[in-house]
Amino acid sequence: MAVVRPFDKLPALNSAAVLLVGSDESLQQKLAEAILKEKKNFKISIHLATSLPLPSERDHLRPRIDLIAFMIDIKSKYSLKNVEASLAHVDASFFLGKVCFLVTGVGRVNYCSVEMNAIWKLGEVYCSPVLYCELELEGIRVATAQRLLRMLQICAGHIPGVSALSFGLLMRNSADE
Amino acid sequence: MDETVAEYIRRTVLKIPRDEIKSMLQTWGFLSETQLQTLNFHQTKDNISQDVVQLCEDNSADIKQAAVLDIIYNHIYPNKRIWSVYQMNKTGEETDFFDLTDFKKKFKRRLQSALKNVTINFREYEDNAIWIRIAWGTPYKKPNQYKTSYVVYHSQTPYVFISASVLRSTLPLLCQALVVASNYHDIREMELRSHCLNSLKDIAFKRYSQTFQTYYPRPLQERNVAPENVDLRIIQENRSEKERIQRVNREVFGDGPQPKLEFAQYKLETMFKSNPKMDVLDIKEPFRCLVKFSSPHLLESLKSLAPAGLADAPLSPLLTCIPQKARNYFKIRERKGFFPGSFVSP
Amino acid sequence: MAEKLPEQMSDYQHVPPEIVNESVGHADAKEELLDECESIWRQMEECQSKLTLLGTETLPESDAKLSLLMMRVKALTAEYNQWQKRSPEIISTNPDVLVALGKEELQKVKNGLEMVLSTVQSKNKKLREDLKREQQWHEEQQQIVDVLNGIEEEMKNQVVQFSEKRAFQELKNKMLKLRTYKEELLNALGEFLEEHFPLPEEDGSAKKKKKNSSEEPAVELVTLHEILEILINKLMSTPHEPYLTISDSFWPPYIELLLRYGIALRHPEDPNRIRLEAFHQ
Repeated sequence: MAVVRPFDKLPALNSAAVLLVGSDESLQQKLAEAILKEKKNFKISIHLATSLPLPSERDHLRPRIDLIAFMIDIKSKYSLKNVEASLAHVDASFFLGKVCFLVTGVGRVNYCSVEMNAIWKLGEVYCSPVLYCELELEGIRVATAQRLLRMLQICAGHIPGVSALSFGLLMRNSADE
Repeated sequence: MDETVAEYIRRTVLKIPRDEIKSMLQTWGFLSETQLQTLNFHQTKDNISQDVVQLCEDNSADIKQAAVLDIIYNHIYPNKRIWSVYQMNKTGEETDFFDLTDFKKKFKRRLQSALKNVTINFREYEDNAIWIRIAWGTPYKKPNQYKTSYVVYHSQTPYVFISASVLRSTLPLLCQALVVASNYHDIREMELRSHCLNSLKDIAFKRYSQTFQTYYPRPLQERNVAPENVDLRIIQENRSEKERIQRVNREVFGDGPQPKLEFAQYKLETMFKSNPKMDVLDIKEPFRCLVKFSSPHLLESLKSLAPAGLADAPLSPLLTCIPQKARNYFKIRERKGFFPGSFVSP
Repeated sequence: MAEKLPEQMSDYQHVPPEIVNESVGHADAKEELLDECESIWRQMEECQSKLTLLGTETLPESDAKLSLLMMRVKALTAEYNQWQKRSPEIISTNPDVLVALGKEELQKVKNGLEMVLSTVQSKNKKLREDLKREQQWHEEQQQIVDVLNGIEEEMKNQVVQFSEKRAFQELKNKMLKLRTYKEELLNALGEFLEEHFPLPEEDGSAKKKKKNSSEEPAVELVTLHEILEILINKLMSTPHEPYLTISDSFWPPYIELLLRYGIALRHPEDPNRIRLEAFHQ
């Protein structure tokens, strides 16, 4: 299967899966560990990938993906290109609230080598929230992990009355004003 | 003792880190052990240097001895200079027996006949390396001891490592003298430069580990992958891709530490290629461009690009061929087929 | 279809686990709940099978945003309709289930209230400590204010007398100094004038002139010193009328000198009257 789809499998009981896509693996690892440290009342699995499509030989092992976070390092043009290329392998219905862009390295704007405008536009075109963070800082890493976790809970349908789509709409409106 | 000699010794001593002055003076062997014991190494370097000069005065040192101290310093700190590798060629197959005294004699004669005023010093080291220090003068001017050339020559190899003087005009003469003295026919620059003399030697003598290790990838792989993913909740989706990158990287760079180079330079003289329909820049002139990579440790950084996810593996052969080709200055021309392949920017 | 799933999912996730696990008697309650779960799960499987029939669809390169927005409109409309149609779920009427649910709810409330209580208590404690500290601080400040007031009172009397007297004395001294300085200046000026601008009688040439003009001196000439003094006094005492009429007692060369060097000025209409240049303005 070349394209990641949001409803390709039945969900597992009391669990959620997040997919982090980005070229900086050590940063992914750090974020994943931070997410695991947070208290939560469901089973989580964090899938790390450098790019999409995911290798198909592992398809049968993978649970249903509830949320995809694309990581873009502002210090690396390559990371942006990588994410742009990966977006083509995502099923369109994923963009109904189950995708977010995580912009990292925001604490070091001096070394910025990507166009911030391009990132902003990415969020705009794909109707997905753009989160800015500096994962090298402990405090912000924890806060980002909490945010992702909260979004994941919503996207996995653990919060009654809020769907991923309506939540995404909520984020949009607040961001536009 | 000549005043310039005294000043030269003083400045050389000042260059040495304080806690190494004693051992270097011992290696030098010009001052006796009793003389060395009179020296107080716990004062400022300025004072130490004055005292050393005073002792040398007593022993009436001349420029020959001062130059030896400079060689010792440069041998311990070769990375203070920039070195360039040269290769000499023979036309015939005759195998000469290398005679050191003959080499020295011919080398000296060649330079002195041309310049008269020139200071030449030799010093042999146990790895069969001959270190030559040359201070250049003219028939009418005394040699300038501060603008020296250094040559490191391994007599059983055709390679010469030259750290040229800032007086550029001396280089052709130096090369000539080397070819004559070592019974070769010509010499050419290999376009390989670095501060790290030992790495240049590793590359020129092909001493660095590369490609040999790829026959035993199994144990290495386990070693590299095992410490990751202790938590089963974190799943690496691209594990096999990562393993591929590691394998490819190992094939290209080998497993051992890389020789230390600080830069690589590519001079592009290629035509601008564009869609023939778009009539842009349809010029027959080559499109000139200079691409320079620099890093405190260039090859190691290239090696870690792909595993860090900053570039695709394998890297362009233009970047990875540096050790095999033994050069880090390239000129890329149109279609003459120097190096095929596209350019991947990291 | 896709939009329905999350809601059903959430129902299903929120069956209280306690009841499912309860093993004490209530077999039929458990049975009922399990049945409910089964039916929800069946519904989900149904949805899932419909979902798998949907093909995958990636966004077109060019007009990604438009098609995505269209999709969103459709999805949001579907979700809206779903919410409209949806009626609140009625929980099982089985008393056992209700009791268990009620217990859980109460337990939750109790936990929450306990947490609130402990928070409030600790907050109270902190506030009490703060109050104590503030009171102590206030007391200390009050003491300082009292002491300072006392000092101020004491100082007031002393300072007023002292400063008035001293200021008066100082002014007096200054005046004295100024007076002596003025005296000095005047003396120096007088001496200077006496030395360099004497009266013409003592001079031989002046006598000759007198003989030429008239035998008897008409009037007693006044010194330059005196002329200047008159001019100064005139200017100072009647600044509105500083002019002085030239009389015969003024020796003409001195008048000429005063005029030429800009020390004195002629009246613009009456050439016989002069005044001192207003140097002091």
